[in-house]
Amino acid sequence: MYETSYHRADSVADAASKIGDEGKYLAGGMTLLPTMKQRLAAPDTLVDLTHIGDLKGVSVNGKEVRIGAMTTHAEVNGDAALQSACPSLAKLAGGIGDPAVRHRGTIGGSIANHDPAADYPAAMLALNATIHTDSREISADDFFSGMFETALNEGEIVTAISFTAPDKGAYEKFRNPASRYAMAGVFVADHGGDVRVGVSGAYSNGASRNSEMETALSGNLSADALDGVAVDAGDMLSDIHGSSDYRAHLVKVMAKRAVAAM
Amino acid sequence: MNAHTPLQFGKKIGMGQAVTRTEDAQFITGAGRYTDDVKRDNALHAAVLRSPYAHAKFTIGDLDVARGMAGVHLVMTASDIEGHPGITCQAVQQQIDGTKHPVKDIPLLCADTVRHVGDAVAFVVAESIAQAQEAAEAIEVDYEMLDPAIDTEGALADDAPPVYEDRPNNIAFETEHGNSDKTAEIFANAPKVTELKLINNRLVCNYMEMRGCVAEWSDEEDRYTLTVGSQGVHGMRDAITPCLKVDKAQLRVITPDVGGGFGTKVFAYREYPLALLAAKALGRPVKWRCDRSEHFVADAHGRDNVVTMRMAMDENGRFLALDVDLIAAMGAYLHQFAPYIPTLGTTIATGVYDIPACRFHIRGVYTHTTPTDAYRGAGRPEAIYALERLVDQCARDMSMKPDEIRRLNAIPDSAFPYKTVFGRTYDTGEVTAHMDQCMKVADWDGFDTRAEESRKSGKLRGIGMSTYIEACAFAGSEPAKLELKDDGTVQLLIGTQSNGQGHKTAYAQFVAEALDLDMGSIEVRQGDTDELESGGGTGGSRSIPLGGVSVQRGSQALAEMIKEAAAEKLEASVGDLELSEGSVRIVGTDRKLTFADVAAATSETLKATGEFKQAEATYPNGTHICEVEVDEATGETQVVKYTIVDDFGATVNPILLAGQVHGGVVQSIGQCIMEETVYDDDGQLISASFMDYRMPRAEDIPDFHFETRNVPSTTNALGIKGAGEAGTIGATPCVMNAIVDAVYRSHGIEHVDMPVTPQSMWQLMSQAAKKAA
Repeated sequence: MYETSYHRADSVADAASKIGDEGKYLAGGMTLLPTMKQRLAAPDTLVDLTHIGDLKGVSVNGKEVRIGAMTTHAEVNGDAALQSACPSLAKLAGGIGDPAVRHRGTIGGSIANHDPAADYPAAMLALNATIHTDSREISADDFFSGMFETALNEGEIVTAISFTAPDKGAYEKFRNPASRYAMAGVFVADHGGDVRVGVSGAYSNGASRNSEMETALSGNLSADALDGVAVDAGDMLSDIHGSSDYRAHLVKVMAKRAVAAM
Repeated sequence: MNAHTPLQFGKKIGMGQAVTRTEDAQFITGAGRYTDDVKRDNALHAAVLRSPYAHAKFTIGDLDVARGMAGVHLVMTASDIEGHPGITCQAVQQQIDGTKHPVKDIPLLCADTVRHVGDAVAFVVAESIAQAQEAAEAIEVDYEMLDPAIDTEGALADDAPPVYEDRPNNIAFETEHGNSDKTAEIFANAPKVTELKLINNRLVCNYMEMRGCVAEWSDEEDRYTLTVGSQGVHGMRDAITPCLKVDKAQLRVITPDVGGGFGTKVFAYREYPLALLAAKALGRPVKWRCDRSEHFVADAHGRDNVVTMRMAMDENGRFLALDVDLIAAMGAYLHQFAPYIPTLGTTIATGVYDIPACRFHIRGVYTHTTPTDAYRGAGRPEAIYALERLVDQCARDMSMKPDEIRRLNAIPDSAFPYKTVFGRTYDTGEVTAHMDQCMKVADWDGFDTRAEESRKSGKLRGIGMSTYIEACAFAGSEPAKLELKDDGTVQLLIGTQSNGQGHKTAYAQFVAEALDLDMGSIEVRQGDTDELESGGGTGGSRSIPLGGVSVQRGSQALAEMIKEAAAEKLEASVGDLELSEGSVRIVGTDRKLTFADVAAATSETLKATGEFKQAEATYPNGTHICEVEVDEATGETQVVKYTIVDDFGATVNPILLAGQVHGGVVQSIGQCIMEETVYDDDGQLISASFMDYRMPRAEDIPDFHFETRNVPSTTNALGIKGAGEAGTIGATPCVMNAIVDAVYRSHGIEHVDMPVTPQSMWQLMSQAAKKAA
């Protein structure tokens, strides 16, 4: 690891004032710290957001859900109100990484990093979530702009996400056998017959919706409804664990399993 | 209570009992003391500058920048250590033409050519690791990239880039074993021949504890001291002293706790002599620690064979002759024992079968990859994997069942001791009886019902077996030195080296039994060349079969000495004395001396040596049966049921034994369905971290049923057969035979190579489905 300085922010404003040109916000650090240890990233300053109280916690009001950006996966997984309002998201959080990751990693860190294989981005798309930052609100559809890219401006801080809980939802993923990140993670959410499908791990431009599946499922929420949908391998990532063809196949398998689980 | 139930307090401890590991409290609570825990106040830290290319000529430019950087004490390149030999191969083979093959040593630092990604170019020593790494990055190296030879089989091609100009077709050595003429003759007239070509995938060891060392020089003592994780300090010393150009007395090697070895920590690696030379040059201790990323490219890899086999049979499926053509990747240099690894495999190539003729042809091939060497089992898992896969293929070709063809060809009980084509003499074994018991315990006959259940959830179920034998605990000895200490405790010195197996527990059991002493009063010491002048180290499953017997004999000798010393003091005859709970007592009386009293009463410290010399290897054998489920939709394979019936001759400690077997099987499951070392055409290691190298995790592993069906060895004095490697040897063919069974039933697929990843399985099934359509 290269030398860096560390600042523990006590407020969002404090964090924004310390980031500078070469700094990085530190959330759970589940991606950033290993990258730094491998000397592949060298921020001059780390501004730690995890001690800012305003950024933490889950609030549920009827079907309206708001989750602070620095809420850990374990907290999302264990929140009783969320388990009742949107069990599929609570369950998703319980399946991220391993217990150590779930107690450090945060929802804000995950979506701001937009690793194409992270689980939360698929859910944000399917849940039609809103991403709140220290300066504005961004719809999930506009937020995830490409692999490891988001609509965030330099220095902009994700403060929370919010969404209206769907009638039903489910997430199924096929994990990379080495890293255990999603190779194909599909979140299906039914918003009063209007079905949204978010996909992680597979698309080369990062988390994406699959509109063909959404059309097929809206009005016929059954696994069989997906039989006729062809997933285009041309849009898919390819690596030693999964060719684009294999990933396209897995997206369909996981989508069917998600629908079957709803 | 079962065989694994720990002993209750007060029960006498001895061989065969389920004594819990005395090491565990320390390891589990973080009190283990590993190489990196060894601190020296004024230590400097080293980093290695490694080649980013598989094959390149290079020149080093300006070094002044790096040398002038903050905290930097030394920047060492090949020109600074001219005349210091590299690490040399100790296993040169005699080739077909009678010649010994030339050896390409591992240079301590490359002079002008790098031959694999991770090859060493410079060694930098600084006040901190970060400073050393930064200085290493500041060294200017001008690389002229050359085409590499990466693929094991492809490296033999006439147009493959040469790793060495003087080795045509990249052949490092070529040997042949067995009875070639007879084999050829039988094949010429054989009614049936089954052929199978398989890849045995390259593995990265991935012990929990990375390598590392602390190197020191003492002017006063005029010698070096190396603290290093190893599998035996004496072998390590002997491999390093030539590089330093000193004699053995000038290097002390110490090994503290070791977090996994698997063969790969037997070897001397270039960083150790480099750190020692630097420590002497700088007059300060030099510490080097390998990180996980370095481990992937710098530590010897395992396996990496391409094997083509043919079995000649009569019309009834009786094996007549076996022909094996093996290509074994050596990597860029000949590692310490590398040529010996495939050679060792040949000696058990006919397995548990009565096959009168076998030719085994080996070509070791240089490639621009990390060198390979022994990895748990060392050649024997490769040989048995190939054979047991071939046997299943023979069964399919002959429309026989796997157990049927094995029963027909197994060495009958009456034929033991059985001399193989390769001159090994298997002392004991009951091949079909082990298999029958395993089939019964595994409910082989009930498979169809379970397969039906699996089918309901979209899973293809398969069942497979392997009936294996291996050779280990090779001829030799491992003397044990025992000493009665002043406080009445007993110290054992022995030249093996635990890497986590639990030697301290196993050895102490023998001492405790002979002396009736509690385990806590026995100190087992390994890992210091100053304490013991020689030792064979740990490898080849030798520690307990050889060391254990020596410890027992040494303990019995010490018991006699204690009695003799006490007899004088108690004015009793030795025959009237017994040892009981740390005292020596006149039988039937309360007159006794504690061991501390005895120690105080003798003018000279009581010391005994035990040594058991074994003339021939031991041959553990047995049957593994497993069942797998393949998810037809995703291609994912899960091992769901695993049964082992093993013949280890005699059991020293069922807990330790089960641990060895379980661990070995887990490593094999990793090799079968997960672990894959992937180089691209440029020789870059693609699977260079845990993000891409698939390591097995607890959830990938089924519950095991393990039991022994021991037939005592007649070559080992206590009947013990070595157990450290058998798990890996029996398991790979068992798992793969089960996988082939699953997809042969469903898709008619016969050819499946390791590792069966979800993607590769999906591709196999998709291709088969297309073909059928």
